[in-house]
Amino acid sequence: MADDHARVWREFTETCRAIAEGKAPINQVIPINTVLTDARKYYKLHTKAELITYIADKGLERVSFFNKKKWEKNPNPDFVLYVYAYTFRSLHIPGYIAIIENKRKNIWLIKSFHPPENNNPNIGSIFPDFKKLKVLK
Amino acid sequence: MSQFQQCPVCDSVDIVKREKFENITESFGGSMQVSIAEFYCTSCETSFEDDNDDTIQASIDELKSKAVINILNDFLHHGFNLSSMERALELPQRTLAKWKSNGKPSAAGVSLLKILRCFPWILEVAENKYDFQIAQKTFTKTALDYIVDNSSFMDPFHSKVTQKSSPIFFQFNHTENNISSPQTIIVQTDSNKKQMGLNTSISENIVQLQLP
Repeated sequence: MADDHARVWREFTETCRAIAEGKAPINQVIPINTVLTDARKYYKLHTKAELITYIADKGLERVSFFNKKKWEKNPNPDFVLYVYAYTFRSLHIPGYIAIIENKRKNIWLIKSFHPPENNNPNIGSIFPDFKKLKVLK
Repeated sequence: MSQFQQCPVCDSVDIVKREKFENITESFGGSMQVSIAEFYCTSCETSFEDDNDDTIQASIDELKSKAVINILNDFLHHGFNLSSMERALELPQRTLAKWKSNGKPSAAGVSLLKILRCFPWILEVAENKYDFQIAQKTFTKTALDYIVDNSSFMDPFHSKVTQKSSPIFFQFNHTENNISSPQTIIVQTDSNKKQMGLNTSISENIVQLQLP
């Protein structure tokens, strides 16, 4: 099966847009664990409504698929859930968002929302043309 | 009433409500500890916040209000005239005075004040109708003045430079993230303006530095 990360991201942002426009209940997207604390700390997004509206309004720029994993802490292992992780930029700040789609309950969980843990780019990623010169290996 | 009766992740009803405290910080407004209500599911060990949006928003509004009053008081303490600032910024008359008395400008107003507080020389740019050349000149002058005032290596008369720098204006306490009160109320003079980056001249500084 082809990776469906593009569909997942599209449907997730569409849900956020529906919530922002009042067409869907706000509980269709649930930030869990430290997501809201991190959103306040790193991105000045203070409330759940601000976070959802920000995603709906395409505040996450240059979104790029990072990986897809089974959710290890899934409380119901019979019903497999996947964590889709993406990286993004928000103006000058890089970010990492991980979401879980629960089709059975028709909800989305935001599992992570913070700057990437390995936020230490090497010179090759800053100046991609250097790689072509084969100066960097 | 809370919105969660059961865990939205695993549907367990074994959820406990708990309270945590978070520090919310606003530039120039200080910080405030806010109580956040959250639920914890003992089955799947997931936590999720209750509806805290109103509480958090009220705290942020209060801190923003404090920031506005702090910034405007700071400008007044350093000899700035609010009416003149309104004129330079082309704001309706008494706008800043209203903001100072009720502390509730729009979000754009709060941002404007924070930018002015960080870069007071923007007032000089506004005074000159945002002319690009003048803006560049003012910015460069301010930067050079700052370097000259704070560089001992550039001048043989080190003691004079040291004496010259030590600005007590607009001290910013990074740990508390608010404005420290000035030691004394300072009447606006050319020297004060220069310390704040207004009407300064690099040539004037160089001449002063070369004098014994």
